[in-house]
Amino acid sequence: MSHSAIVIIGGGPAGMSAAVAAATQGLSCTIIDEGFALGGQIYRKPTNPERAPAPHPRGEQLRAEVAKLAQQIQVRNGDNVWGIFDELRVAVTSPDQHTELLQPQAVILAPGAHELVPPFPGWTLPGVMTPGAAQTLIKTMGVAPGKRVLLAGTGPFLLAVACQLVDTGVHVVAVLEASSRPAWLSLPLHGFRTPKILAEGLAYLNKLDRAHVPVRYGRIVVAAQGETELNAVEHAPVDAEWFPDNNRIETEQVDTLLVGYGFVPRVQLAQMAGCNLELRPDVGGWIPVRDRNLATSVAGIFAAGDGAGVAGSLVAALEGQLAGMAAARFLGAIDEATFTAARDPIEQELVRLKPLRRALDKISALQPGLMSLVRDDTIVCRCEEVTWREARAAVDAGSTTYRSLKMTSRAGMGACQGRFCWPFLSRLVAAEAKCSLADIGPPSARPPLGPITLGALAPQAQDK
Amino acid sequence: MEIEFTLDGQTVRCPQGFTVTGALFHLGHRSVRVTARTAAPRSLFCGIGVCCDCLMQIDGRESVRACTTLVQPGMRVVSGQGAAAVVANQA
Ligand SMILES: Cc1cc2nc3c(=O)[nH]c(=O)nc-3n(C[C@H](O)[C@H](O)[C@H](O)COP(=O)(O)OP(=O)(O)OC[C@H]3O[C@@H](n4cnc5c(N)ncnc54)[C@H](O)[C@@H]3O)c2cc1C
Ligand code: FES
Repeated sequence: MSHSAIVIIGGGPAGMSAAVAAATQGLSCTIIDEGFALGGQIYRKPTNPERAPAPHPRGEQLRAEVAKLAQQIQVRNGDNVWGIFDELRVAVTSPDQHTELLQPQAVILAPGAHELVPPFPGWTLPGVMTPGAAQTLIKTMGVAPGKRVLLAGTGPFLLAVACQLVDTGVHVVAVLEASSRPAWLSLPLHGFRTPKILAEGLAYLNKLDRAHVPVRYGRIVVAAQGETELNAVEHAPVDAEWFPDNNRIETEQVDTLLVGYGFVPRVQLAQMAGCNLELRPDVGGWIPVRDRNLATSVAGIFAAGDGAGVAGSLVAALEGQLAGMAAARFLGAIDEATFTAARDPIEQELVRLKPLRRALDKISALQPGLMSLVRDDTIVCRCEEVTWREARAAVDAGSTTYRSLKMTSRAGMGACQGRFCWPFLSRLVAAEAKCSLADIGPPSARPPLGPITLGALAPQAQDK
Repeated sequence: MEIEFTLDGQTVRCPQGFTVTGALFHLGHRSVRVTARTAAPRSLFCGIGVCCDCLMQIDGRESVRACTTLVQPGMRVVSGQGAAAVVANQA
């Protein structure tokens, strides 16, 4: 396999744009993405095109741009990056369990985000899943996640997924948006120079209205019911801090609940590489510290897109371009003047997108009431099935960091390495131990990231 | 075009280009495994290979993420009991 100057981890809008920008400057790049095709989350490509809806045109366009540069850009789909070691060594395993250690001169991290779900009674029941999981079934195979579906959480993504469900012929019972209607109506529509994005949001609302799907503001799901699978959901109105009014619970019979309160950047590879992190709850939690050119604290490693702070696909693509150019300058393929000339328009565009994003983030910012749903016997770590009673006992006995809590209660110890539980568990711990999220820290990241088998690790990784 | 594979030893079919979880949903199954500690059923949760709720035994390999694996002809998929621990994350 040929050496590439730049390894790009993630083939979403950020990773594809980074590759195109760097390859256009004559640099060789390898994009590694564990998905079946380039596209990332938003531009996921159908794996069964006869059944799935037509792919997003912007995604098709980006894939075509990458394909046009096939001389410079190598694409490795289905391969999993499970570690980054000193001096930019990237450990990657293919589906047939072949492991390689790549050694590029620069790395661009573009791993995207995953969804954010708070623990609540019943949330481990089959039938409860993220909106993105349901969307993935539809986008790739046209498979419906269930027959009667309720969506709950916050943010415009819920509306987008609800519309996709409607288009697939699924009965959407309602969308529950945690924030109040006045909060959403306070979006100063004319203050933003981003009318297209707002028009999209309004189109979602109109479509749901026509399909008689109620969007109910100021309500959250407080519990899911069922024996071996979901059959009902309890939801309640909330106050401004999202504390539910448990005297006004309504029960809805559904077989599927899609719940998502935003996104969390996937920072584990940045962490393994030794990049400094900072806590930024406004963009999803812990993110790599970056300079103006998206360089992390480790020389030669750049970070772009939702994996470096959740900001959506448009920002991800722009950041990808900037990271690609910054890597080209780092490797001496372009001079300073060329770099600045490329950076200025990208930065202007990023500045233009910012106010709307900030306003949306503010409306959807997590409120403390969401942390009030756990009961003693609620599972807080899905992998190891640790209940809040067990985790809290460990906290009360002094375990207030990821590492110590994992050792004493097993919370965060499982296959997902705390990625799913920690965003909320750390908040529960902070409240219980009366300390700050920053004190508690992110889950430590250790290779291998993801359930890699011993078999894949055993044959000594080869330098190529 | 349909593909034939086995689910817990039974021969079943799904359309081409389906993930294992997609095929299970298509076939009307709602859960993909039971947990090690409490034998509770679990299913698709994040859908993108992060949460590890959908781990199954596939072609003899333990703890494979069913949501990011495409069904292949003759594939052997076993739901069984999946401890979601693997080699990941030893303290
Ligand atoms: C499930 C889900 C669905 C979403 N759907 C939408 C939507 O419909 N509309 C919308 O506007 N926004 C959506 N988003 C938000 C989304 O994060 C952004 O819109 C956008 O996709 C971010 O682009 P990105 O390039 O930063 O990351 P992504 O598009 O997430 O791309 C990152 C890629 O990196 C890969 N990757 C990560 N880690 C590794 C690794 N270790 N090894 C190999 N590959 C790796 C992933 O497989 C992924 O393909 C969704 C998010 C999620 C989590
Ligand atoms: S459903 Fe989360 S990893 Fe498969």
